[in-house]
Amino acid sequence: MNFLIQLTENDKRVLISLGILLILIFVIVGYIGLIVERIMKRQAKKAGTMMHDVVAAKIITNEKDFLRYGRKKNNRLFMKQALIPSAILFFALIIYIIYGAVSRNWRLNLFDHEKEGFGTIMFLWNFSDPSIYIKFFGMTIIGNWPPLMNTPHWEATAWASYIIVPCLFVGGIWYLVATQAHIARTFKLKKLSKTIFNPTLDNVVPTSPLPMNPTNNNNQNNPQL
Amino acid sequence: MLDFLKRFGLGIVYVLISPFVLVFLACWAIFNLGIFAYELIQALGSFFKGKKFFAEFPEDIEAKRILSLEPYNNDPNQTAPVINQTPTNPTVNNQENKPL
Repeated sequence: MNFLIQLTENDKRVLISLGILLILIFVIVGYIGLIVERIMKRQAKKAGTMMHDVVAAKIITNEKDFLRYGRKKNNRLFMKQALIPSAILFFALIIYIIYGAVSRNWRLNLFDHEKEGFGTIMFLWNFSDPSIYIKFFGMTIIGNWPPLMNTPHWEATAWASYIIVPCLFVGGIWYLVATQAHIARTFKLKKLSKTIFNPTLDNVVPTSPLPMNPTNNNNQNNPQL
Repeated sequence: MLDFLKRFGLGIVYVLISPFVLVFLACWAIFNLGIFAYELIQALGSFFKGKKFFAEFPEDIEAKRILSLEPYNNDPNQTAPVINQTPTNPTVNNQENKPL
């Protein structure tokens, strides 16, 4: 308790704001994890759906064939899902090549905030300003709002960055979601292959009589079949 | 409130394991580039051969055919398969008696 009493008013404010910030970050990360978890569960269900027909028709009757066919279907589905994001990324590459060919500038800085980057249409703060940092128990932490470094403004020379950066962002995230779905389906297929074709002792009662074969029983009752 | 606390706790766990998860995801994404290229080449080859871009697998075609030929699958009261329902197609019986 003596430790807390020795804190100055400024220290307490910093401590509280740091605590709130950390809690917020962890909660946001927790909810992002929840979204990822839901996407993976939904995609894992698709693995069962895509394998249903071949198993129901008894075309696939063993674990090895199940995994081989599952891999083929999974890869095909991944290609379908990744087609649009890949097209977006390819479009960004084409724009980059056109820009380089037209301007003879092959060293385009996509995130520059002065002339040719996407940063020109963003609010940017100067976090390298030493006056915004304070000392807190020997640690250097941020203690003030950083000064505004850039306000959004259009630059004609940055047209390529205005197209490329959103394309990279959207295409990249979309591709990663497709990858994540592919991972979820792969794990689900492995799990299904282990459970569907492998007999288990869970439902076997050793003392119970053997079940009668329904086909034979049918034939006995109805000899014409 | 409980959900909030649960998310907070899971958030800490996710932050701790996120570097490993991201490396794993990045490796898988790079590996998938190869899969994507291979599948794209196959699909283009199939397209230029006059088939569909996403041509069905032989197993799928076979499964659809078998399932469409088995009316007892849709009728829970019917216990025995209907044999020779389509006499013009001699492969029906072969599929019914396909070894498992």
